[in-house]
Amino acid sequence: MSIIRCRPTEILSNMKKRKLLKKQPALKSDKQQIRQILEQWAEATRTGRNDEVLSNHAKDALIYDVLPPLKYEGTAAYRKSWDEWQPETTGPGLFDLHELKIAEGQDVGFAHGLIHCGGKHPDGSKFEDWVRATFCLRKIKGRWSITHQHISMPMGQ
Amino acid sequence: MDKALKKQPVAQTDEDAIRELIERWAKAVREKDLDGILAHHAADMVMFDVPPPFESKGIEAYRATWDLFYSVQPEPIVFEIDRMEVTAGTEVAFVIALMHCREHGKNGKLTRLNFRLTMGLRKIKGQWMIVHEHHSVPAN
Repeated sequence: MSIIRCRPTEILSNMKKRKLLKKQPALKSDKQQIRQILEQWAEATRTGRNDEVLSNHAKDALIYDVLPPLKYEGTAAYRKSWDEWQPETTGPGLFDLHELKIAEGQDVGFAHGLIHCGGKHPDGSKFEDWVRATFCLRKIKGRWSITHQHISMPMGQ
Repeated sequence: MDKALKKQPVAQTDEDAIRELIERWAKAVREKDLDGILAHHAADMVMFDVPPPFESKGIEAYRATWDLFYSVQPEPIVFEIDRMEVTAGTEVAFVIALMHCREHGKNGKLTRLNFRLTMGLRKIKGQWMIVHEHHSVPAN
């Protein structure tokens, strides 16, 4: 009965609407959104785009990094430290995420994985390493952001 | 009637429940109570520890990290939480902490060893379970 009540133009219009909806890119799941943020972080690091590395981090993120100090409170303190320890490299760098596992709830999530990193020193010598990484995230106003990052190597390695 | 009402426990938030779980876990470590340590860990959990190996996958590999820990830790065991933040959703949560234990320093002296801890938890069948643990010290 309801179909009969619809005029053909309305049916056509509804069909168009459905088609339009189909054409729109599918909304990314929370897991996909978190993966994308972490891949963006890795890519910005790999390509040396330092100003983008922390673009999805909360300002007050607590950061545990590979080298001392024990902790950084806030991205500003972390950003300031980079010039002190980042190795001088030349050419394309290596900074790839492996074995990334993501657990996401409605507004709290975490992820862990391994990072294969390396590059070439200005004298041409190569370096390469593996480190472990854990990220903690919160969804704030509909957007995931990294509120904690923990990267390390086992002691003595 | 009033007395009966007072006796009822106050509803515990997820953050309180997790904080209590982590405190019980640390106490079990101090007491060398392996069953207590493993009580709320998922079978497929992944551990990044202070000493090598690089990673330990699964509950049995996790158990082995404690054998190593006890083989080098002076007694009585010190395993203290200095700072802990719990963030809990309804199904997923994480814990960020700073802790300390001890180590044999130079000249055999016992020194404090500060380390960082991050944990990831999931609520499985109504119970919070640790599915990821990351302990580390900064490299020197």
